[in-house]
Amino acid sequence: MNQKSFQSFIDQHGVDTSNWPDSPEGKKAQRLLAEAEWARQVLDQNRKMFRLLNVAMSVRYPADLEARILRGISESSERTWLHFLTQWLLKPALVALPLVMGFALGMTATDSSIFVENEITATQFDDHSDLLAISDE
Amino acid sequence: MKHEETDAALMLRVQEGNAEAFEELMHRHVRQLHAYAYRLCQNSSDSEEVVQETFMRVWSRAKTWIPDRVKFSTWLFQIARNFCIDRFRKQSARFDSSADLDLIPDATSDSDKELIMALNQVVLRLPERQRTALVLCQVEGWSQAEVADVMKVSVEAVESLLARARRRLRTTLGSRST
Repeated sequence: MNQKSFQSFIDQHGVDTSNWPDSPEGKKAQRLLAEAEWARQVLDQNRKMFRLLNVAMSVRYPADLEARILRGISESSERTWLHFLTQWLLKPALVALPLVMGFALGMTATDSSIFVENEITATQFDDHSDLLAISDE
Repeated sequence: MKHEETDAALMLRVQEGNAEAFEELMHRHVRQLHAYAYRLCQNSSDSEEVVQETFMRVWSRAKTWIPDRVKFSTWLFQIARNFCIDRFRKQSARFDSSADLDLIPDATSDSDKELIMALNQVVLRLPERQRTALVLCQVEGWSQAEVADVMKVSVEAVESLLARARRRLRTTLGSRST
């Protein structure tokens, strides 16, 4: 194993030697580490790079994030209820309203419609023979 | 000593609509999830929105989690990763351009500070899959098998992604120092 292949091995398996595979290649890398100073230097350089990477990846945690998540969930629950009310109660009610009103009007207007019907019948049987007599003259 | 419920036990209670169990579960994972989302999005507002959307999804779709199929943390990070990918697709990712200088220890030498800033820039330019593998494995310390579950790829694929990401970091820094 030369320097290039040792570096490729670290690229593949990382700098934590306890995670290195128990394969022939892994054993070669372990042996090299025990015997060669340059191999220890290569590993140290890689370890330093990843230590700095962890610093580079440091994150500032926003203190109010949990509260915002909980608030968002309670608001969305309210929205869900509102959605349920509009979707399953209000919309069907709005659709049914004209039908109900028509039915109610129909029921309450029964008396007047009989009156209108009587009037129509009475008009239909009016005697217009006097008009005919006038025209004959 | 207070007995600590497992994620799975808490999640079963969340599935019954228990808000306290949800709060406990969120408290347990929110920091790590935020760190992951930030490292992936490299943007404060995007990462916070991703975390909020992820936990809202956990609450609203709790019943879709099947205990024996996937670990809760894996499921959680899968959801977050999908939200991050959605953001990459919808808009060209908006990066906060540099590492947070306040978070770098005072004792760090100037040359190391430069390297830290350079590393941050290299990570920003990594493809999403390499960045996810690197962040979860190298920074969060997850095993390759766990990362493979989150990314829904084989362990060999994670190994390959990691190798490419590490090589890219190393070669970029190597070319800087020469």
